[in-house]
Amino acid sequence: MKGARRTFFSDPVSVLALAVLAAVILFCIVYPFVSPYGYDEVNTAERQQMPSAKHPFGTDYLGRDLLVRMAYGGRLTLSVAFLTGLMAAAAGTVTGIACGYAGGLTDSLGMRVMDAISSVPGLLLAIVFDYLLGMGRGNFLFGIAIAGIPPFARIVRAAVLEIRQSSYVAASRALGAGHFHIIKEHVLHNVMPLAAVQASTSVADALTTCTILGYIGVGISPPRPEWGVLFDMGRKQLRSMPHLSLIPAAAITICIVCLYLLGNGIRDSLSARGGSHE
Amino acid sequence: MSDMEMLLEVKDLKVTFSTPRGTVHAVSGGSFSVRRGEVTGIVGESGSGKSVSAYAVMGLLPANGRAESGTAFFGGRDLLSLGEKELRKIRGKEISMVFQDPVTALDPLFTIGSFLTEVLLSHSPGMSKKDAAKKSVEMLAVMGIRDPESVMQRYPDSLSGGMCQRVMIAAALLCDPRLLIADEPTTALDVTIQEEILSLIQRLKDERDMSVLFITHDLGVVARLCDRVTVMYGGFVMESGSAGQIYEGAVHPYTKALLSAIPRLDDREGRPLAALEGEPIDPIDLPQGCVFAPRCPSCTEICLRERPEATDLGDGHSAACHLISKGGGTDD
Amino acid sequence: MLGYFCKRILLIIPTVMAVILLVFVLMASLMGTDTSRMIRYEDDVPGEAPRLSFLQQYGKYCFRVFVRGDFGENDSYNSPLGEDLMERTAMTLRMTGISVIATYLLGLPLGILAACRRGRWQDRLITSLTTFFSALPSFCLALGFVLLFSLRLRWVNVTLQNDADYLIPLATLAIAGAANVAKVTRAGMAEALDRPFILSLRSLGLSRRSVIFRHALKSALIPAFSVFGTVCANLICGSIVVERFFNIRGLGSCIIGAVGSRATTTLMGCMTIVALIMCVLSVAADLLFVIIDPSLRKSLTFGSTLRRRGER
Repeated sequence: MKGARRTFFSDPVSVLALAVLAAVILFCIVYPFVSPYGYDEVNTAERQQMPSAKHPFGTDYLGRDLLVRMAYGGRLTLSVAFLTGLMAAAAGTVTGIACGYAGGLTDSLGMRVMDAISSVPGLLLAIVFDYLLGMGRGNFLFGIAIAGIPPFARIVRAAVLEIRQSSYVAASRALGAGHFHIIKEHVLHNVMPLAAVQASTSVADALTTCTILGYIGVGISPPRPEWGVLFDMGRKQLRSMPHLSLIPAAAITICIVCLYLLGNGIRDSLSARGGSHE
Repeated sequence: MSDMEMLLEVKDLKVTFSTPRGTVHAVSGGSFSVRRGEVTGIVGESGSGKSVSAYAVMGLLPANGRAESGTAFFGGRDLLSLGEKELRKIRGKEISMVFQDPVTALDPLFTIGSFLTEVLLSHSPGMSKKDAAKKSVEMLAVMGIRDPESVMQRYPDSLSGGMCQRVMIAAALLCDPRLLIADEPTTALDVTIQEEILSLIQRLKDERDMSVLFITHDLGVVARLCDRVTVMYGGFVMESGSAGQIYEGAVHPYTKALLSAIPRLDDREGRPLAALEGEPIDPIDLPQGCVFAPRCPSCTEICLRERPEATDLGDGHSAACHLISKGGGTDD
Repeated sequence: MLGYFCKRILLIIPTVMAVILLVFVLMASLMGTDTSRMIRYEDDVPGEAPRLSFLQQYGKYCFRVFVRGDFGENDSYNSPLGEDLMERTAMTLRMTGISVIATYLLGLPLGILAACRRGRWQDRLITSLTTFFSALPSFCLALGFVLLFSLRLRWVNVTLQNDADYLIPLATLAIAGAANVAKVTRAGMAEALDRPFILSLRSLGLSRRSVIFRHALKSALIPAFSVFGTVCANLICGSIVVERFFNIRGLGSCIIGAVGSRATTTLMGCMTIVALIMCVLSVAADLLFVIIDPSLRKSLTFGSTLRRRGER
């Protein structure tokens, strides 16, 4: 594990991705406290302004400062992405371990459910959840999270199956180790790195779904300035003020690319030292 | 013996692989030859460079492998200097190869029939599909496959390992090559099937005036099949000679160690089976002297310092060992 | 094999009915006590609509949809929903159909090229591009295209007046899909090229072209088409975004509209059609599989399930 960490930090791309992501998160947390404007502060005197020293990202049709709205939106978008991504990670890991370790009927049943979930696109699932379980109550979060479970469950299950058949688990079985002990000592230990890689992908996917939801007006909706919402508002002034939609789009793109690079970095650093991956 | 009899002559072959860990010296001094109508065996443990030598000759090294130097003359041409296009005309038509695991050596998505006819048609483009299919069926029958017509329609997964190996040999011999390279063709098979495949290769060699380069780690198989033997270790040739010279008069300590590791039914003296001590060498970090020195029971100071040259012992028998070049021999 | 596909086709209608039931149950639980009028029909007489139980409504809906092709009445226009839905579905299917073809025409060659040049600059370029485009939300891509081709270069019109203008939404849809296909193809091709049979085929003197395009590619097509269903599903989902961005009258914009105005009849109709499309796609994907991997054919009977090669 230590060697993997060193490999990870010796790769400039991974370090850069991590740094950019950390900077974005830090900015979103801190900037609303520092900024002279509120995210919903209407200022009719300064409407539709192009970027300037006073408003680095310009203002929208109500004179609201885009920079502070971006920071606020980032809080919403990124916390949804991380929350749902990690929810999917936790549920998927548990499902995967349960299916892989128990085998038999539990396994085939669990995997069938996973197949069923993954046959529905995540976006559709989130829309359906939000609509059917009542709008505006954050139900779309469950939709995003559930859509993220199957890939996790599959990866973890495959790893568990491999570990379960390995000789060292057989050996500790023979020595009288209980199921709980085996899961804790061998299975979790080996599955964690794989789950870490998938988690970054999962957070990125959740980010995509969340912003798309915001864009099509499901889930987080105005006046809360989620990044997808901001993009949608900017789209209406594409010709005159393209930066209003370009900036949210760029922020989304940067975060997603960083998350993927982070995942790649983790995977490479684990496989470089001959880790349990593949 | 005249050069006319030489079908394949490999001299001073050197093959390296570039890997993340460093340069792997897979073969550093590979010299062996195959004479017309004979079976030459290359014997060595895994990592001795025996298979890699064969792949280098065929131009089938993986992307990170390179034949650095040496020559491999076949019918007056140096195979190592030929381009991919020219090699392709030789592969399958003049030199063919049979592999260790016959089941994975066949493409699972194609029937045996389409596989065999494709091989034929790629070497004789003018042939009609019908003739190709007919010739394929005949060849399967030669391999001792019953009901070849139905096998033509089948996919590899529905055939046993032995059957797959017969199919692979059939494909290899479709265009009447002069040399067959067999890379441990029986290792992955059951013992009874092994015997059948060995007899098949023996029979085909006699019937078709073909030579065989037989790569194996099994000295027993070599004794049964081969006219000449080359013993390799760590990418170097240790000893080579006729089968009789190797079995009755081995001079190299490594060959002797290998021979004493074979249990013999006719051994009435009750000698213990010898096992070689120590680990095989690291092909990234070759020792300065003889590659076998770290494990050699008769290692001397010069062995650790200098690589031994091959010494000709007459009658085509040669060995690379300091103890022999000093004229002493190593009989104990 | 025929039996297997007959079974699959026959199973489509029960599957869709199960989906309808699921959505009905969820909608009923959402509407609370008054579940009598979830679906509006044209022949409903105002004021004296029969009070139907939940199951009666479900039965009526299924009967009307599958027997009469009647999806009920449009919530906002008092016109038959069926015609409107068909029109929109045709639009969406046309767009996804074209982009599925474009996806594979673009993704397969890129994946093959990357696998054949593994580790070299072509591979690294294609791998980073596919990672980038498969991760990007489609509206970001659409924005980029519009800014570049419409506002700067003025090659196409955002308001989609000519057929050629549809190139932007189609490209937006196809590129994300192509990135996924290229990724899977590259992995499948790289794995196929490492298989021992490639070496034995080369040792028999087959041409590089035959080894790569006849043998390795055929193996690589299995993973490439195993994502066919996912690719199509993602394209239909992507069309929601693209239709909104370019104001296209399709199924996706219909779903958004129905969700926004809580139009249950419309939403129900959209869900039924989406479920139907997904089921047909899943059968089509299996059919594609059997075409590529003929050794699966024998094992397929009426009662069997299709196990794809490499599936655990």
